[in-house]
Amino acid sequence: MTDPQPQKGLVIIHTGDGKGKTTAALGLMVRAWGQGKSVKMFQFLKHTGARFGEHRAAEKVGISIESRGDGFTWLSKDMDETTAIAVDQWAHCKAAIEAGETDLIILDEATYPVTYGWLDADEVASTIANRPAHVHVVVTGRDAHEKLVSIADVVTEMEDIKHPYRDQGIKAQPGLDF
Amino acid sequence: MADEFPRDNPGVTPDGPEKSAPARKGMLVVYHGPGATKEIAGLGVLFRANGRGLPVRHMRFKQAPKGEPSGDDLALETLGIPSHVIDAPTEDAAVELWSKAVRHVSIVQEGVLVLEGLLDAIAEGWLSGGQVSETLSGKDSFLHVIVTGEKAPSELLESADLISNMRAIKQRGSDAPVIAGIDY
Repeated sequence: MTDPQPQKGLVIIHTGDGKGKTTAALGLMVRAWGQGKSVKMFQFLKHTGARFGEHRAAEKVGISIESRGDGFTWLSKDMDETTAIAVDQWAHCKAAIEAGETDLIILDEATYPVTYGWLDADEVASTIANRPAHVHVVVTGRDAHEKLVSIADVVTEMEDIKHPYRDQGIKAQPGLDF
Repeated sequence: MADEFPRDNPGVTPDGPEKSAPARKGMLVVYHGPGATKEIAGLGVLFRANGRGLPVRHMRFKQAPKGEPSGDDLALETLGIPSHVIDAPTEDAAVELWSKAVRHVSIVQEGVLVLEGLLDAIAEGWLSGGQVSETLSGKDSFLHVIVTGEKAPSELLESADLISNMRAIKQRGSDAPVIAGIDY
């Protein structure tokens, strides 16, 4: 078999219990954008229309961050609705991946809907694995499903050594955490 | 509600663990480990805080990630984020840059300061871990300081509010081609 593409897009996963998964994905997005690459972020779980620091910064420079969610699941009152939002968000992700027009696509917090079974792990893994050869896909979230790990080129675990909320009761800080 | 940050730990109840903790605090954050991911986490925080309109500044105590031109530097410039970098890592350059960091910490009361590769300058013996820890944990402001590098000295591990170790579970081979926008 010959590889027709000189440079293969990577699948990168940021997982683990420690902080820094989304933040590092944002950093990668900024780095790629700095190189003139086209980038896009899709956020699962985080509220539709969220206005975190990253959304504000992205808006200023014309980077697309699409959030579709109703917060984290243990706050959800209607699981059917929560599932439907995730399925809808995945349809947007899938379309963007398959279109091949974006060099770097970030699926933020995408491990959760897979782990919870709202999305089919095989479908997500095969869509990512069969992407156009130049496209990089970054997936973040705890407990990455083994099917996602198996198709990844790079997996980094953010190991929780010290956590300000757990250890000191300090809440997430604007600008730092969101 | 849209602006409220979702808790990332289902195991933690909304009320716990301590109600007396400050609502807002300038945090000392350490991202360390062997992987390259720790550096881009610093870049991500800068982007976020810049979006909030907070004063942000970047200082790099090591050589830029392999490859030219650096995507990080191009992005920082386009975003208008002030950045101080040392071209060749030496003790003199590290000491001089550290003095800029000390000055920043003493003057700027909020926002984010990223000290990329500072841990490596400490590991080289160019800066004292105890002094760095004292300066960064002794500040009484809302400034968040992000420190990165391979290994953190015990003083910083002790004084930091947040520490994540970036562990490589799966990585590309050392002969893999360097990719613009990913590696630099």
